[in-house]
Amino acid sequence: MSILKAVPRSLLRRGVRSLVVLAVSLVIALFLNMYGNAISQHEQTLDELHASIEVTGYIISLDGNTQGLDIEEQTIKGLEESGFIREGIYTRKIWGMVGPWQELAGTQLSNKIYNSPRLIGANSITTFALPPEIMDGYDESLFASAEKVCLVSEDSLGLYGLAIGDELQYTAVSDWRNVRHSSVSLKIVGTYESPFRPAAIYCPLDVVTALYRELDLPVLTDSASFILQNTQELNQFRELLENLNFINQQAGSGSDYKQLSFIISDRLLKNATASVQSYIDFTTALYPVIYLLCAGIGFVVSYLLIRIRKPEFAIMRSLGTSKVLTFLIFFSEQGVLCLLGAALGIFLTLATTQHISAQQFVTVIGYVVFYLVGASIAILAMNRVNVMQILTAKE
Amino acid sequence: MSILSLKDVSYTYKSRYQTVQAVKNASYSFQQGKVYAIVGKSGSGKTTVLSLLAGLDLPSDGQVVYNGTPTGKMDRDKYRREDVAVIYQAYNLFPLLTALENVMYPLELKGVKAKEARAKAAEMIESVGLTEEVFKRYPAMLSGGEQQRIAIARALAAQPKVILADEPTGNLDTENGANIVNILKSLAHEKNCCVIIVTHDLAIAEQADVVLRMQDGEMATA
Repeated sequence: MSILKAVPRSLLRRGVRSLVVLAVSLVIALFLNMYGNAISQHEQTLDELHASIEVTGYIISLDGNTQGLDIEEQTIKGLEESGFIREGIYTRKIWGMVGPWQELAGTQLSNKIYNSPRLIGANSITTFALPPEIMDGYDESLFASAEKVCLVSEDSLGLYGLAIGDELQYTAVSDWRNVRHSSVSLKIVGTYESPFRPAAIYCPLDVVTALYRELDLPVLTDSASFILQNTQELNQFRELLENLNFINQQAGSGSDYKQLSFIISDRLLKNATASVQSYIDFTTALYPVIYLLCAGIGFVVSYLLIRIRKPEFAIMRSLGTSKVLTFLIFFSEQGVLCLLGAALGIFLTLATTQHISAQQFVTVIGYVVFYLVGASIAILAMNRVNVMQILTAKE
Repeated sequence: MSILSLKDVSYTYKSRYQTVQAVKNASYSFQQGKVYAIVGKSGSGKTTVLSLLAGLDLPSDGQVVYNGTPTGKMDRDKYRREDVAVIYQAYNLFPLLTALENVMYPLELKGVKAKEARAKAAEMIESVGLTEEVFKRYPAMLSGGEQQRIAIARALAAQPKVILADEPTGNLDTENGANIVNILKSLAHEKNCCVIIVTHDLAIAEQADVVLRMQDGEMATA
């Protein structure tokens, strides 16, 4: 007895009953695919929103300052390597004096430094409240370079008798007690407006970083703000921030005013994505129920269709067909029909939507598995029936 | 010589409310070349005995022995494929197979090639008095008598030594019933089969070589 012969013969002659299995599998496969498609489309919308809405963040001290933070190099490195930072905007300052080193000590030196402008390194022009005036041949990108150039305030030009295009010598000083100093010559390429006296001198971040290294000082960052990426996983980023010893201000867990906090400005993103996210959450939460329902339908259909074939099963057994062969014949019939229906469902989905995800494919296969489990249980249950009782039932 | 025997066979089953002893200490030896009739009222245990003889069930106590081997110690699927065939009152043909395919089924089960099985099945159908016209008909297109003849042809196809029949004429008119009984008798007397017919029709029982009576699960020679 060949299964390859028996199964197609039975399927073809069973007509409408064969079509029932085929139709149920087709409809369920289509439904599961459509359901999966709806979720995928919303997920795509969510991705697009995350890509188009900028989320920023900045570091702040517990007393509310965004500057003078002295952020350790290790912390900045940890953030940059997290995969959540698209762009970091930093400033780094160093104390010193305009001009060459002057042999001063104690109070004289401290007064000199206190009355001198600080040298601030920045890597973005966004550091300035008002756009600075930059000479021809230079543009905003100068801060991203390591070129020895600087911007000074209008007042400072007059104070030090300098003009745009002149070289300005700045001598950076390590500290008051164990004095080390290092000078750098910077070309003045622009001016900016400042209400402060003395107003700081701005140069590329790398210039200040180099001075820190020459003076053997720990590289501390004065202020830091960020444009974030991977905003779908901000909760993961928040966990990482805790590991980097940032304090959660909302939780009120900080007691040291020097401790730092990382503020994420994601309100706009949250507002824009809330409805899409809740749809995805709801449909995804419902997915197992929908899936089990479909699987249950498959299970019941296969079980009922097989149960009504008890007489056929009994005849096969009475003629000496083994339980294994009987199982294989019935199982193969159901398997072929179910797979055919599911394949048709996948084909129709592809024909209409041009796309089917791996998850949708796996879901349909899962349904087929459930259906076949139902069929298997029904067949195994038939093995327990009293063959003689069925065959001797009088008409 | 005994081909099939019941040795102190008892069969007990549990229904929802009670334990029923359907067969009680039945012993008998059946021989080839004879027609046996087992008669008795409804519920006397006739069909249970048939089920035990067909290897569809095992006795609770005692043994059913075929050619020296207890059915409990043999491959009973093979036993039903090759050594014993059962004919039922309700014919029990595969509704989606043609008459010819129904008769071919036991041959295909035995591994006989399709062409040979087809020829053998055709021969069997003709041997029970039917013509080629019925070959391609489905059971629903045949009369009761024709269906029972196809059932007999199917039983004969595998050339069993024992043929069990459960009320084989129960759904047939007198003429068709008589024809079926004649076929069964000729199988015993001409083909040396052991034919065991379960019936409550005394007219059929009268034509048997041996009549066994079942009453309340006990078997006795009438």
